[in-house]
Amino acid sequence: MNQAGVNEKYKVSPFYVFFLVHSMQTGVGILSFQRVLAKTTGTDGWISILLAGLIVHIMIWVIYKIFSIVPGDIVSANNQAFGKWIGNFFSLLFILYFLILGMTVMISYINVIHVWMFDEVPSWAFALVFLILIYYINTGGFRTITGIAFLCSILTYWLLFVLFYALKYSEFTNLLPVFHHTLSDIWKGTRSTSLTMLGFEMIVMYYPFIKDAKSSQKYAHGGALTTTLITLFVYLVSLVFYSQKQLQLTIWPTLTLTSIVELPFIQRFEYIDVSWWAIVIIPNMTIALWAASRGFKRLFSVQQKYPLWGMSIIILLTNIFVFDIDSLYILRKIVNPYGALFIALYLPLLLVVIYIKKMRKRL
Amino acid sequence: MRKLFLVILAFPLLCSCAQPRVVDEVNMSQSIGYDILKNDNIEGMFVIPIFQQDMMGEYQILSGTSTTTSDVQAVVSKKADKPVLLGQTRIILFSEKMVREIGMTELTDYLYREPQLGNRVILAIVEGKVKNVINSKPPNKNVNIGIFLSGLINQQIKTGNGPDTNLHLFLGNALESGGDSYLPLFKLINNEVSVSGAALFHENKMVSKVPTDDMFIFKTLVQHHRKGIYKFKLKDKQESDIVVESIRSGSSYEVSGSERNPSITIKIKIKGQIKESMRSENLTNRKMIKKIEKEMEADLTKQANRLMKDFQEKSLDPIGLKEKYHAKNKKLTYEH
Repeated sequence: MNQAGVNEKYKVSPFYVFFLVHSMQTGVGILSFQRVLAKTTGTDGWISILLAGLIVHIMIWVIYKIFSIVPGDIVSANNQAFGKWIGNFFSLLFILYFLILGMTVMISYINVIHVWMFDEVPSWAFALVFLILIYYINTGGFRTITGIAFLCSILTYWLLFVLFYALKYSEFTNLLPVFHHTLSDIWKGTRSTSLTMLGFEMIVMYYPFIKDAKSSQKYAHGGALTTTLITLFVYLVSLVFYSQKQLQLTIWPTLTLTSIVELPFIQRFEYIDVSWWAIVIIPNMTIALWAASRGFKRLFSVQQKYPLWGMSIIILLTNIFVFDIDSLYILRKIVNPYGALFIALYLPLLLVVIYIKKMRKRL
Repeated sequence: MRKLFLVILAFPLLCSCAQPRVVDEVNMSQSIGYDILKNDNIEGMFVIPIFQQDMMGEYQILSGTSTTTSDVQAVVSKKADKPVLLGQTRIILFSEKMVREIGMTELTDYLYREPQLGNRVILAIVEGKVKNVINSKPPNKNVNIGIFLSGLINQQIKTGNGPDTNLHLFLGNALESGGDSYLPLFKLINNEVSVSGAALFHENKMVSKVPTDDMFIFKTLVQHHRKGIYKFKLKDKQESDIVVESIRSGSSYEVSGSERNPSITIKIKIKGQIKESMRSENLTNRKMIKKIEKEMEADLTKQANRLMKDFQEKSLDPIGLKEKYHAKNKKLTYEH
């Protein structure tokens, strides 16, 4: 039964869960979340971010609780809780969700490249390069993916310091007044940050790949906490840098913010930022597609590379036949209310069902 | 593995997807000027450097007319041997007449949206015709007029009485309710371009200006600044001029929380050194320094009060008192 069992040599240290969670969470969301957040909550947006971070922590706790009762991954947990057919249906939903998340990240980033740098390059050209890279990383197995996640987090950390440059042009009274939005506004703001916060749920796929998995919980929490703090920092800097109306007009506030940077050897810094962002994006797409194809493998017992090919082709075809902005709106819609809601409701439900089953068995 | 190698070899084919923009093959505009014509058309001028050996500072000016600011670029490109690109634009000039008639948000919409342009582009207003300013020769032969003007503004921001300005800062203020903001002003005096104060905006249109003499106090009200020259007359028999260079100056705003009598107290702090006193008396005399301090305080207060009165009469708020008040009193909302 224990199909989810993974050979010891493919496992990674619990410490790396920090980077897996953190690098998966930070992606395209952090480029543009400020705009909607400023519209709904304005100066109180930081409360929404902290609230979203809190929810992420609770979800991580739920995930670890589930797997402390049912060791394995989400596929075995689903089967255990709901039986083969319904369980497999939910596993399929998860696979679909992972695929859509990966697709959203890629198309969002291609959209950014189109607007900021190469408007004349067709989107499939970028998609092709990314997909080949993702496939190549995925053939290396989960250890390679972890390595990439680690490397990409380390390589992009310096981008944070660019934000300090913007403080030179900032107006700190923009942070005030606090607490003048209603709770429902703040809750709306929390929902709008979900694209920045999503990504932690990949744990449900790679949990069996962690050595001494239970001890990795603190690293998962650490990764999520880091993401929350970075998001918070980015939002606060954007608040003092932009005025409210300006922030609502700017589509990618984080990128526009870096265009104020001028260095003696480079005049237009945002081009470096946009290009470097590819490194932030790579683990996002890789882990998502890995999780989707891994789920497929577990469900249908095929080699992992076949679903990976299939998914790559789906993404490529989407990029060729659907104009990327249109597909982006649909995908964002799917991910933002529905995907996030699915994760936030389904995982606690799963925990409850598993818990009840376990109690019954004991009786 | 060999398959993968072949795939990687195919990557160079993708490089030709994007169009290269080589410096020699484009017209790289370093400054743009916009004038409004009598029939409401817009005339745009692009200052483009020519890169050739032994031709330092050579430049050409391309101009064209159209009904919108962004279309001018296309019109001009039709007359040039190479396409006009905006990536290196440092400064954009508008004529005073234009910004009094057309709203700034309409004019800057395209500039802010255009990813080729950075956020650091300086916007400036010209009293009179932009054409005359753009066509005037800079005193320094090694630079073109665009670089000269942006250098002039930057130098004034760093060491003079000019407040910080660029596209981002301007829009930050201009997009707020009321749209009160300011931009530097240029004027052509005896064929020499010089800064002539600041243009003030309300509801996106230029409505007033701050003359050069008030720029020191204006900058002090708006931001902290390090350098800056202030000149005033001592009120005694000799009426001698005193010139003070600021070392570190700025203002702080105290907002009262009471709803019935809303008030803001502005405290100005100036740490400066006396550069020149047209006087034979020794400045080591403490009494004399006390006197200068007192007189300067009185003079500055008078000037600041006059400036604030002027803003109040025209219901302008370039200093951002609205935001400062709202920050402390959240119940208050803006009235349009």
